[in-house]
Amino acid sequence: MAGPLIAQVIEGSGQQGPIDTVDCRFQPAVTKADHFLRFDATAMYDANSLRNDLVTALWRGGTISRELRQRSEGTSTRYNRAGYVLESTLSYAWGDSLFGNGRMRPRLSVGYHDVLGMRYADDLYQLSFFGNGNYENAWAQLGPTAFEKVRYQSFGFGFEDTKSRSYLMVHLVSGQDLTAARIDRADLFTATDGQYLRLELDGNYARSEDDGRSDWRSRGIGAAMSFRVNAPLSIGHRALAFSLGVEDLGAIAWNDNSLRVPRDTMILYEGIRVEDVLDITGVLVDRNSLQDTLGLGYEAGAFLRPLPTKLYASFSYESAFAMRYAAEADVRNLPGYLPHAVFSATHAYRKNAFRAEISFGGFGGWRAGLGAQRLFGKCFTLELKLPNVMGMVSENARGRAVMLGAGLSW
Amino acid sequence: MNERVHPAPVAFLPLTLLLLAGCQKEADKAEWDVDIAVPLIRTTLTIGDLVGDTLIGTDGQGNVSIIYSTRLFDMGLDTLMAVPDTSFRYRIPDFNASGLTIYAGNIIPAVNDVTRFDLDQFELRELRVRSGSLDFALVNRLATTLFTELEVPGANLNGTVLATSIAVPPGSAGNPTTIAQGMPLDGYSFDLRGPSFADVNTLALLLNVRTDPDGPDVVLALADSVEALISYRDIIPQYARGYFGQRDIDVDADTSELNVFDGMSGLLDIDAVTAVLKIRNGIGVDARAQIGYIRSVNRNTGNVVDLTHPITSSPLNLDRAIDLGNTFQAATNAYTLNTTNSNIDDFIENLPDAIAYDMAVETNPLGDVSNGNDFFYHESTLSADLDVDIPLRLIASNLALSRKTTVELDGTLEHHAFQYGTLHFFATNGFPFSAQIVLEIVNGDNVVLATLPPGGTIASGQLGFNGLVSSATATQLDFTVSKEEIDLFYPGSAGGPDGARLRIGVVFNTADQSQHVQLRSDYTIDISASLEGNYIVNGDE
Repeated sequence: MAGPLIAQVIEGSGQQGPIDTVDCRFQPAVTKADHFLRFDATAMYDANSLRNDLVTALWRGGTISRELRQRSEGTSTRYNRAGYVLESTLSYAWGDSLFGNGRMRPRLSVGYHDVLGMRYADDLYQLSFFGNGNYENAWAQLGPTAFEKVRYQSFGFGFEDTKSRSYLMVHLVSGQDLTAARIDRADLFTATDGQYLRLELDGNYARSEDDGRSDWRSRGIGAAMSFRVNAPLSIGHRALAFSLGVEDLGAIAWNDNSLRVPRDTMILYEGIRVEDVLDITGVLVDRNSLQDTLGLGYEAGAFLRPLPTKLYASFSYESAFAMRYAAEADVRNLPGYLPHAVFSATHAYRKNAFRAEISFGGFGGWRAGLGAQRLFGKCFTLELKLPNVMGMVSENARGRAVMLGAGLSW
Repeated sequence: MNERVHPAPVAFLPLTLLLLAGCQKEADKAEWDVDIAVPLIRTTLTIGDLVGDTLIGTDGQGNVSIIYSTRLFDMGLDTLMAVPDTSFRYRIPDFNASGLTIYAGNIIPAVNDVTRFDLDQFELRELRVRSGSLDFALVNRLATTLFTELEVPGANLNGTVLATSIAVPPGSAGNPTTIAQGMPLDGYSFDLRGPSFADVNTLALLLNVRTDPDGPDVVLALADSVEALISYRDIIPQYARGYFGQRDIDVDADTSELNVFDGMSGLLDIDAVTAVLKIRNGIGVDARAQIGYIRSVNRNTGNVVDLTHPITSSPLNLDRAIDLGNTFQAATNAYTLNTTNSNIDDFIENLPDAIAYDMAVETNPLGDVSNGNDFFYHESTLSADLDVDIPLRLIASNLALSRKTTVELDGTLEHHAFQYGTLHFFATNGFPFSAQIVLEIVNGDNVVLATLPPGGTIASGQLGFNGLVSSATATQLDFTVSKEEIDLFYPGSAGGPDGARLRIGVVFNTADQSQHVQLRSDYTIDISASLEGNYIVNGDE
């Protein structure tokens, strides 16, 4: 009994990606199943310097103390990273053939994706949370800094191999919101007493249409493809499995009302020019006027931007004592997201499986995680993973994550 | 309204905005304080900015003068003359005709009258009406229709005599029939010389009444007489000509507001000043004016300076306007005042905020010298203006200028972003005077609630040997403001229901207190301001 369940767990473990399959091939009673329904959800944020107490305070609102902000000051020697992933996917594959081909079956999926990634310099954190008062007569190096937040839905169709469950899909993508910036250089000099600011800037900024309407409105259309190749191997009587896959390899064409600010310039800001120094109301200006003063006005127009594609691979080995060991790696096309590696061990006990893992990379650093899976009846599984256990229980840690999976086959 | 933001958070909070976008709940946004140092404003001020561009004049050498004009009084037609509403009532016939039979189609002996208007001392020979009306009503107590014709031979519009006719249906003694008609007189010209062309204020009127030729014969009874009511109403002259008489017109003592020295106090010593009193007579009548006084009134100090000049001690003969047919040319009588023939310098150095005057005017002091050809048009006025030219060559000793301004800050008293800090002013002064700056927070009653320390004085530009500024001088002034003082600007605070205001006081002292210095049009002062302070991100929301 343990062996089949391990197989399910291993095949379904895509660490922070969707757990793709509940495979009943190892259960004699449902060997003939040809309907596979799967739901996966991921809610994760991580950072290598922002501590949970600061993120919690930002989310909850209210006053954030200076001490709390100081605890999240940058600790890395290069740059700081942070981001989040909110995703859910529902997929369905059915039948035992496609257009008469007995090795293929059709496959559909719908997905919601809201992801953010950024990397930023220590000085940017300092300026954001403590102001530029400590930088008088000094330069603040705000770059290199990059940021991308994108929200979109995908509607996919394709086919999968009936035996290996490898698949290939194409997706129609509806882009709803994008904010992105890439600043290669942003050096800010604050003159004594704030008499003037000098910014040497090389970067660009882009955002989707700012129409003030529903967040669910489509502001861009795109296309993407996903595939996964499962290759079962065997060494002696031990089972091996290798998987390689890509999710959301494509782009969104954001509409004509999208906005961009590309700049490689030096800005000297000495204040707003007014006609009457006695008119204090002239001190306060609206955002658009200030942007114009700084030469940072928006340019409207359509543009194409790649999706936050995810590339992943895994290698698993089934060992004695109902154990399975796996090494997994993934990388995302998001600022601040480093190659992410996960090493896990899974033990099956009756209809349950328990998983322990250690990981490194992504938006954060070293993380330890736990997971559990249970088989209900013959072909319904529920799975819960906590890839960052410390983050779930400690405000002093960095990052939190929870992953939920459910599968049904018949 | 546009979203109003402070430059500092916009410039320095990209990361914050990013985080908020991804991580924050909509309500109850996170807040934290940051220390900011940001430039606020910069400007270049000329003398025109300090005094007001509309008041500044420049000669060919770039020397600057304050030039302003103020109207002392303006006396219009309504002060001179009013045509009262006038009504006439006629019985037709105008003799006792009881028992007289009027056969069908015959004429009833009617009215051929000469009416005289009561126009006070005016003896008008011609009157053109700007607006007004003639109301004509006829009462018929006879059992036949009456056909009535009214004609005013002395009134015409473009050569057409004023005339009208109405038919009045039969009536009875117990139930008379009345028909009324109004005729606009706009544009009509009245020859008020009467039928003999030798009278004044006189107008002839003809009224003919004839019975219906197809009606019955009627017999007049005493009570059956026909009545006519004619009224001249709301007559406003466009033009009048005649003899206006010898009249004394008292121009009531009054004051004329003056804003050129608004908010100024202290000592101003000007080198020269020229003023011209212009009395403009738009009426075709000789006049003699007697000025009781012209006073410089400074309500702030209570000082009053009477103008001393021959015009205030002896009568002024004012020429009459010239009649050009359909318009007129006013006669301007100008009297120049300067430092040698008057105390106009003291008058101006009093920094008046009002000018008080008292004057009387006598018309036709020599009688009917125009032989009845005095005239006025509707637009005619008798007015007096004081034009002043003050070359800005002066000595300023603690000359203070004060101005209040509303400080519009986002947020509320309980919840606002800017907490406390220091305002820095950087001035490069090219004017030949220093300027001490005082910033005070005052309530609606001008009670000082706080003075922002330490303030200071913007140093004067350096004077060269020729008394002109040879180089500008740079100065930095700082003003600290506490959270409690910021709170005063918000409604509901101790600053009052509308919040306090900022009063900016500037005290000028010319660089050389012993001699007058010339202000030039190319003098400038560059000012920039920055802020070091504590600011709460999202504190205004």
